[in-house]
Amino acid sequence: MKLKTNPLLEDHGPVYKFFYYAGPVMLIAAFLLLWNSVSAAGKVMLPSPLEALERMITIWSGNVAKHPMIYHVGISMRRVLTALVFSVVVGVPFGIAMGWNKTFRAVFKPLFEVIRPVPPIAWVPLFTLWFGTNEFSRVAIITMGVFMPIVINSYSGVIMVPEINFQVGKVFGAKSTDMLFDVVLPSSLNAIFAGIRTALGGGWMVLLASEMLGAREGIGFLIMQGSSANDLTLSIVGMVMIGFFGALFAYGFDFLERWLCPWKRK
Amino acid sequence: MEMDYEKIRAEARTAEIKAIQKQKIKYLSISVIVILAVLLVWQLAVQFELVSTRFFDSPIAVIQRIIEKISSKKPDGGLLHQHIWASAKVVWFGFLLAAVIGIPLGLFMGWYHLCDRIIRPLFEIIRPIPSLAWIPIVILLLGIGVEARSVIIFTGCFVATVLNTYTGIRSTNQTLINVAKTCGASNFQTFVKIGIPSAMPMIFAGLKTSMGSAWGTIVAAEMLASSNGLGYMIQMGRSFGEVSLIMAGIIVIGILGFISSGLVSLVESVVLKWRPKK
Repeated sequence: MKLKTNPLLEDHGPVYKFFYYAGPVMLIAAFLLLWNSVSAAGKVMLPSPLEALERMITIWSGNVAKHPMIYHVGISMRRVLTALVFSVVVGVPFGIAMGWNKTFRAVFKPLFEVIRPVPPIAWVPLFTLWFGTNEFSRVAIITMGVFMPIVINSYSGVIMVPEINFQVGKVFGAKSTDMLFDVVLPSSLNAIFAGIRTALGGGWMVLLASEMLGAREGIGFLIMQGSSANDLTLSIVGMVMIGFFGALFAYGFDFLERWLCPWKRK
Repeated sequence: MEMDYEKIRAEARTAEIKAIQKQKIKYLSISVIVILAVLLVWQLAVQFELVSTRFFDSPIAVIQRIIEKISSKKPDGGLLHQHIWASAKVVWFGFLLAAVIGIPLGLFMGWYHLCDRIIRPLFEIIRPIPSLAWIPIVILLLGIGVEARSVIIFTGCFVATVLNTYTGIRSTNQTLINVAKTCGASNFQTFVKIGIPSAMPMIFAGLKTSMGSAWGTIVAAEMLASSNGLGYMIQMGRSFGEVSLIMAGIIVIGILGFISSGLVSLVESVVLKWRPKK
């Protein structure tokens, strides 16, 4: 069997080749070594990478803060997904209506422009004052963060449909509804998906904020709990969890997008 | 006859422009009326006690509160400008640090394959972790001072800056690269003269995103671990049950976020003057 040569390596010498294969491993090893040495120096109570890894495995058996780990992960997922589904179902039609109908735009665009620069996290105290620290208020805050990018992107997707698409539609005798569903919607789908992707990233952030500021369950709560109970291993496990599920959702979403927008497949 | 056609065409054009202007005025007035109506309903609802002042305060009371806060330390122990300065300092420091480190890193990763290959795995591990999740570790290593908060802001801005810069330089037009190579430019020269300018618009897009997220992060960081800043002020308003202070804080943060992204856009328009306008 003949070994395939990597075309990216053809013109390079042995030093380049060495770093090409060993570099990534060396950098991660250096990162872990640095982490380990800070932890071993003992000036701060930082757990070593090995301790964190051990905890990550053992944490799934038994309870953490009165609940099994899977419960914390599940409830965080549920919060983000509820907010996301609601925002997509309401926000996408809302954004499209804002792009499509000028009166609708004149009524709602200024309100959005006023609220937009306020970071969603800033609403947390007001929402807890209005609705208390319950499930509804948490999902409402996350919705604040997720709804906005979805509406704005759907809106700008409709606005940026090239004029020529409308003209082609007109030539082929499209009625107003045909124009909306066959011309505008497909051309703005890219922007709509970009909005949902942005929203998802922001959603994790607001989820963490709302869970860190007053919840008794969820990943954000665990991260904060680790900090206040001097159990940093728990915080690190929480960080890894949120990173892992964040990445998982992003990949799942890419998959969904390729399925719904076949023309984006390469 | 030629003259008449010209005249008719010109008349049609002015009529069209007039109609468009008329429409613009119509929609602008709808927008203004909506905003005024919302403010009025809000004011009247509070005035006639349709909603409790425990949960809502009138727009006039909120504005009064903002003005009052300029000279009053109650109840959170700081004047408005002290809180603004405390927050803005941290936001800008973290943001600039992320720009200074993130832009070159993104450029190198996008241009030099070896650099991408070495750094990417570690970057992909750090990338999906939201900046707020770093708070416990940062508190442990750096305490709750200005540096600690700046590092938290940095972690959020850094990822957005690197990713956008990377995408920007990656989408450099291959034709331009080929032209540079044909003219005898070295790889480094092509990088500096073609790659970096091509990446500029995306770099600024990334900076704007990271500036937006920085204000959100600072509010949360100050609510969790700080004794000054606007996030702390809002949190104190919550603890003392003073809704006008919470609302005042939200409005001030909105204005500051707006000004900050405006500043980034201003720098962009100066730096990217050479770009042909659409």
